[in-house]
Amino acid sequence: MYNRIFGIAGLMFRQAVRSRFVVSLFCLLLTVLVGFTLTIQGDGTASGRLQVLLSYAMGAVGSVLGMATLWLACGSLATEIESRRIHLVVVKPVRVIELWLGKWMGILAVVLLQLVAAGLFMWAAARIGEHRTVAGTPDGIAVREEVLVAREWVEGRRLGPPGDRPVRWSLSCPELPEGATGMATLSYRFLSAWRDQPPVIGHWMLRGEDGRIWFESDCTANQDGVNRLKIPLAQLRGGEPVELLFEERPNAAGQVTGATFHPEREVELLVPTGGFGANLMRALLLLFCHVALLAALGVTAGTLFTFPVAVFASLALVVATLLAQFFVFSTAPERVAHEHHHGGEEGPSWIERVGAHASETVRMAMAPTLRYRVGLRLAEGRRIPWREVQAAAAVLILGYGGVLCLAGCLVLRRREWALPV
Amino acid sequence: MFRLRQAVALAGLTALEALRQPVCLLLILVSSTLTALLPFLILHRFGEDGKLVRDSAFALHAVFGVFVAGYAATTALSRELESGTALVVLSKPVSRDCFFLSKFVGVVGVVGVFSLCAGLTTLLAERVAERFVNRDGVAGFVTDGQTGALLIAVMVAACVVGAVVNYKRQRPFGSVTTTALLGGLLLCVVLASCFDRTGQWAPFATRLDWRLVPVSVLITLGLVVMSSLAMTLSTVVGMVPTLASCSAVFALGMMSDYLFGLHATESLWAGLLYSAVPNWQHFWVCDQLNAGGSITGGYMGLAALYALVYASALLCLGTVLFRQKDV
Amino acid sequence: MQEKANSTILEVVQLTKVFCDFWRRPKVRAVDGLNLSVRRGEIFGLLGPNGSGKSTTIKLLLGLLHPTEGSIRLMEGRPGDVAVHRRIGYLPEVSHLYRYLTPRETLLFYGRLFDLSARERRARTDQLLEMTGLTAAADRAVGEFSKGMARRLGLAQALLNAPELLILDEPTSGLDPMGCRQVKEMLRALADQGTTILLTSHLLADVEHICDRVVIMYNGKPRAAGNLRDLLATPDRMTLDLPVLDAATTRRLLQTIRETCDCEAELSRPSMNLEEFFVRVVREATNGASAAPEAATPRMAAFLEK
Repeated sequence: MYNRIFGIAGLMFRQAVRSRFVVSLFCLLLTVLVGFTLTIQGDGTASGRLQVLLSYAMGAVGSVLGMATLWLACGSLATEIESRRIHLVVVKPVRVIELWLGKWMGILAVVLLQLVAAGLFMWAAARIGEHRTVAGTPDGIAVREEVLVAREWVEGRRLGPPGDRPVRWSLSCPELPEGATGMATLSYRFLSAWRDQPPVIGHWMLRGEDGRIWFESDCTANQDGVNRLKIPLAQLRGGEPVELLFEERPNAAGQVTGATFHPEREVELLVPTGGFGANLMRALLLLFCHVALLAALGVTAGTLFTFPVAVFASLALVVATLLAQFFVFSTAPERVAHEHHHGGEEGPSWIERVGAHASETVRMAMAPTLRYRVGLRLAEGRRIPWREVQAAAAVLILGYGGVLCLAGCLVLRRREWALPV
Repeated sequence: MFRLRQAVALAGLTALEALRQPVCLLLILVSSTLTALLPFLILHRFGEDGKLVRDSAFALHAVFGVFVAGYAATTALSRELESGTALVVLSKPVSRDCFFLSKFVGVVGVVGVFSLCAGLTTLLAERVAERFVNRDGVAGFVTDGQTGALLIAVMVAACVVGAVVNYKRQRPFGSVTTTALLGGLLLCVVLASCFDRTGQWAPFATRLDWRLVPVSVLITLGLVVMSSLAMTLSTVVGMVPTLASCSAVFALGMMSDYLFGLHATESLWAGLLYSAVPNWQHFWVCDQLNAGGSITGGYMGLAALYALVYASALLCLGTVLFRQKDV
Repeated sequence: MQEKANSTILEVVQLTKVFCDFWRRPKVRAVDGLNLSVRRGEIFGLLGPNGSGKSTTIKLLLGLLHPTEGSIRLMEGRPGDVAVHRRIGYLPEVSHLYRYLTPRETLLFYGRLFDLSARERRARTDQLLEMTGLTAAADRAVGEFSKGMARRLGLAQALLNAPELLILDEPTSGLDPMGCRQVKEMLRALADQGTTILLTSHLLADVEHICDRVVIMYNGKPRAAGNLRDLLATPDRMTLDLPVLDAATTRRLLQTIRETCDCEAELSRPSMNLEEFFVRVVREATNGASAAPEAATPRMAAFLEK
């Protein structure tokens, strides 16, 4: 069985290489990545530039590779059926699942090759960016401690009623690596509608369950943007619950701003637990899981339709999945009904009702496929955990991929290969 | 004269062959249907409905058009080269240049048919979109439901006509449905002009927004450039790499101003790439229609010249490559 | 053993295939009530003009199409069964090969599909390349091949698993007379070793040389079937085969026959057919050198010899 699967996969890979698909895609990815590296400026700082570069590069690699994989996958079976080359394969002792898996794995080999190349490029670009900054300078510290790092993070859960002073949060300190040195970051934001507000002067305190103070520091923070407070790792105890307190103090003029914390991500404690290289690898593996799902979709679509129709149908499904989030917002069934009820006019039109229910159904069915996205985590130096990669592989490849594989095999079993296309 | 007749025959055949492909009809029909549904999906935007509908419709026109252009070009050349059809044609007294350029004209014909359908649907969908009316006892935002229903009915009717003709006469469903859709849309334009927004009989009282036509034409010009790129690529690589490259060039061209334009003066590479990658922003001018604006004839002329120069350069390259191709 | 040799390897009963249009209306009745049975070890010919349903029948036998009516029993299994596919070889009407692969890679790939060990794959590939005269072109892309070369490679892949039943759709189409002759000799040799062969052709000379039994199809229906010798026999005529005689002896012989039998007798000099002449010329041109694979008699691959 494995002999046949790997035989078909090897053939698929060889065809992709010899039809110049691999080299075309490689050139395209290289152009995009080099283009980004040469043109991106960011906010003027090395860390800002690196953050924008990493997030854009991940997005571009995902989009280009995803699109190209979909094309390749749709053509893998559809063009062979159309050209009748498949006749010589299906009259051999090959089961349909072996055929499907062989094609899919061949495409994955192409994807893996491209992802490794893109990953190496991104890693090199990041390291060059790091070497261009001077260690110890604010920019150099930001690059090393906030971008090219993998940090666990926990959000604080507010304690006490609103308006309570001092403001208190409870959080559980992430597990620390053995003999960890360096700095953790406490990140916090205020809610501000205007720019150029006076800074907030306050005092932060971190204390354990036993009441012992782990760390305390005065701070001067901006009301807009993200503020960061560095905490030596040596002063934290991994895995233990901790209480965080903030008390605003009057400024030089004796005034208190009364600034309130931003309701989303009020405070976060980010603790470095790993390096950039491994985090990049996990991010690329997450991307790989998504592209593998696209490949499965393409191969199955190719069993049903001719090549161009398969591409169209797969793309339509991908776009519908992405747009479903937007449409759910504007056409959620309850919202549509509620608006019309309160508007006192006639009920929602049938198009609105159908649209609302269709988008909700698509969203529900496809929501897990959008759960495991890299987003800005790599660029923000946030750790992508291994368990997320495993979950993504289980859900996207085994779950959705398995369903698509099953559907593809069912179609292939019933198919009359020699019917005119 | 003989050459011209050859070219016309080849171009016509190319267009017909592409229009008979199911995927071509699928692209035309889905893009038109989505455009027709837009006014019903984009509701209650306080007078912005028309703008949102036309912007979305033009986006559909451009994106679906890229696929139509790419697909028609690859079927016209790549597939014919692979299947040996090109060899049969070239064994007749047909020069390679004539063959290549005629194929391009045929592809432009398909893009033209698609753009005509998309343009007419956009024109009608924009009219259907909700707008404020204050007369004859009507005060409020009114959707032109009658025209909207007519537009959707045209889509359904075209499919029914295609199916009936296919059943009775065994004519190809794709080309018959496309023809019926085009005829139906033209009829719809005439009928829509005879009624006002509230569905009352009022010949030519409510005019269509003809400012949309130049925008549609500019998108079509962009698609013609895309067709020439796809044709040229088809001489070198197969269908899948051609379509994938077209999608990539489309994406790069949309971001050309940002990616390369900003640094074109400082960096030689950025300058080169800015010149080499077709800038689709020149053909994407729907923002000019905001606040009652329109597209000037001068701009149209310049954009047409840009498209002409670009397409000509790509076709010259394509012709040279096709001359050297082992058919 | 004898029983096995005479047993039926393929049994087709009332096989019918109707192609429908999009609206499920019958469009073409490609095969209409075909009955046939093929015995082990024979060469069975499916004859008929273009469009008579030969290729459709083959595709039905292989499970590439589903029958509208009727049944097919193929080696104690059904068409499409993996176990059946393990024991058959198929050469389609047009050799649909992967154009980016070389012949060696093509055969190694199909060898993997038969789950052959790496060593076995390589050995069989080399033998088949030699047998089909493709050793010199073993590392060229198939996309660059002439139709005849592609046909040879197609035949090689059909023999890769040393099949019990070899199904060949127009096996000699696209081959030059030398190639045709080689293929026919090879098929005869395979049949002699017990391989059952089912072939279609509209080149009657090919079929006449090698087939044991045939069925002639027209418009999807079988019109004549049976042993080729019986079908072609002319029971009211005889031929006397003699060395060349001088004119006087010939006249006397004819006179004697006419007087004895009281019937009309004719004498003519038999001539070689064009194929035989062509083969002789080419063989003489190459001095019978085995180094010229195009002209040499094919050497049977070792793994095919039983």
